[in-house]
Amino acid sequence: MKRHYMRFFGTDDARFYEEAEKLKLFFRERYDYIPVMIEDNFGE
Amino acid sequence: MKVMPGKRNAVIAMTAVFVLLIIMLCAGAVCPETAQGDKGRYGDVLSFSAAPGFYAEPFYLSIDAPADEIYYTLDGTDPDRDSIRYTGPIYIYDVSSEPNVYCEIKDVSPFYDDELKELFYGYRLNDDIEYPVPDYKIPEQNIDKCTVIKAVWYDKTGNKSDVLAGSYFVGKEEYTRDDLVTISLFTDPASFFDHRSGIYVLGDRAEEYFEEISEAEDEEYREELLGDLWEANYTGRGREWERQATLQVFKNGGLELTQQTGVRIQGGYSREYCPKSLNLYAREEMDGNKLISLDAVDMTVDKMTLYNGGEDIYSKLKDPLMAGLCSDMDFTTMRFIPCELYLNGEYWGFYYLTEKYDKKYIEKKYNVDDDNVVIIKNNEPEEGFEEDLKGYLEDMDFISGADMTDEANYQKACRLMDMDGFIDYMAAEIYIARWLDWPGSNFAMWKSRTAENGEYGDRRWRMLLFDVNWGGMSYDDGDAVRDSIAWVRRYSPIFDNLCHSDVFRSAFADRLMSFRDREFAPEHVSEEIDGL
Repeated sequence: MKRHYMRFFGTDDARFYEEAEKLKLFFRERYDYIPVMIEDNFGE
Repeated sequence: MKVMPGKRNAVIAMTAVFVLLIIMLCAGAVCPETAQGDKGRYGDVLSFSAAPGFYAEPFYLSIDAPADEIYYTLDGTDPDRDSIRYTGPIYIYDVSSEPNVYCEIKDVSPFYDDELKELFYGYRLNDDIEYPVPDYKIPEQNIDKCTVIKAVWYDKTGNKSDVLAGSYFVGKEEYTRDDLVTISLFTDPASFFDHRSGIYVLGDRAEEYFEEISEAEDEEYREELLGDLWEANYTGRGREWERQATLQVFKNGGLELTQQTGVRIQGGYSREYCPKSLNLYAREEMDGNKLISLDAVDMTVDKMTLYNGGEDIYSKLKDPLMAGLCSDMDFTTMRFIPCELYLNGEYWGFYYLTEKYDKKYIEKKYNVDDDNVVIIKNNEPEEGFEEDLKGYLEDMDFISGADMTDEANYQKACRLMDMDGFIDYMAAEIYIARWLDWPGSNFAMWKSRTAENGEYGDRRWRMLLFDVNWGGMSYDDGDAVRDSIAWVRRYSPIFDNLCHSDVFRSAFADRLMSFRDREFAPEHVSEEIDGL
């Protein structure tokens, strides 16, 4: 990641990377859930 | 020698014209403000011996002018005869070791104050809504700084030149890497931080607001005030709450732009955070510029935003991530250009430089005449007139009310709206589990009012993506397994009704699955995040 100076006003580097990892986890879990959501709503 | 009366008059007239010309030339030479009027260019007579920018080592800076009486400031204020008198070259060094000034000010956010935080937890939060409440701390270390200098000179009659301004960074090579844009914004500190008139602080307006709350006898009214966005100086809007500042932009270490700009606080609830988003306006009356032109990032606008990430305060990733992931989809996304802001010479944080959606933006991007652009945002005409809103509501009434099991009605809806784009947009927003502040708000469409040549002049409504920083993509909130289709069907009559069409439903489900395997595939998203 390009940013080198996130730490300031309550945001530190560790928190930034933690949030970035959570974002990746969201997309991993969402990947599994999307077909379920489609089936639940549009399935016959 | 005897001069004939006629000839004498001619000599007098010629002498008068000659004297007048001399006076005018002198005025032009020594008093550029007078010669050019009030909108004279900044710094066209004075010059610095070194250009504003990044330097590896300390150095001495000279100020050159056609007269000796030069004054300067180092705190952002415009210099006058009460400022520092220039007597010789100024030592420019890494001023980061100097004490912090502006980041010590706690009046910029309620989250610095324990009492206000307690009120916030008691009245502004409820169990259903996750709202980030930062634990702000004053930096313990000396933060990065640059020298901001403003200089002016006076002629013998007291006429004052335009101001010359410069930002000097010493030993800050890291800011010149990675195509990062560095922005230096400097002005009279009172413009931002004065209790009465500063646009960045809680200030007088908050004091009055809390006085009203404490005096309110009606408990319901009191709770209403505490539950809403608290009024403060930084919630002030319009020209009354705009302040002039000098803007300098650097890319890869080189100076791209020096301009005067009007600055306002931008945003909704994110105004309570620090750093805050800022809108920057080109103001012709300040320096003759109608536009802000940044060739290095291909941006020419009359206003731009320094975006703080909204409610995504810890990473600021969500908006730029989505803009990148959706850039090839059939709806409009913004550009997010990473930058670092220095405010009055003090490091102020990581921002994104963004353009605003308006008729000029649409004209540039889609080649539609700007006077023919209609933008409706949250059921209000952002660009256009009441008549345009009426047309929009009629179109949306049809799409949300007609029987979409009838193929003819669905085809008519496709003529009113770019259906492919709408499917892309809804699938993308639903994929990332948007809720809370969408689709009830943060929802906007644009169209050409009348038909024009070209792909986008077909009068069909098209979607604009913005503000995806809250209510979605939250792993902690369980968004990953949120049934967003059900949520959106409850709150978007258009989407809900279109779902009665087999064609739409099938296309929408296919699009979601396609995004799952391509744009939003976990590996691809991870790479995008790592690249931000």
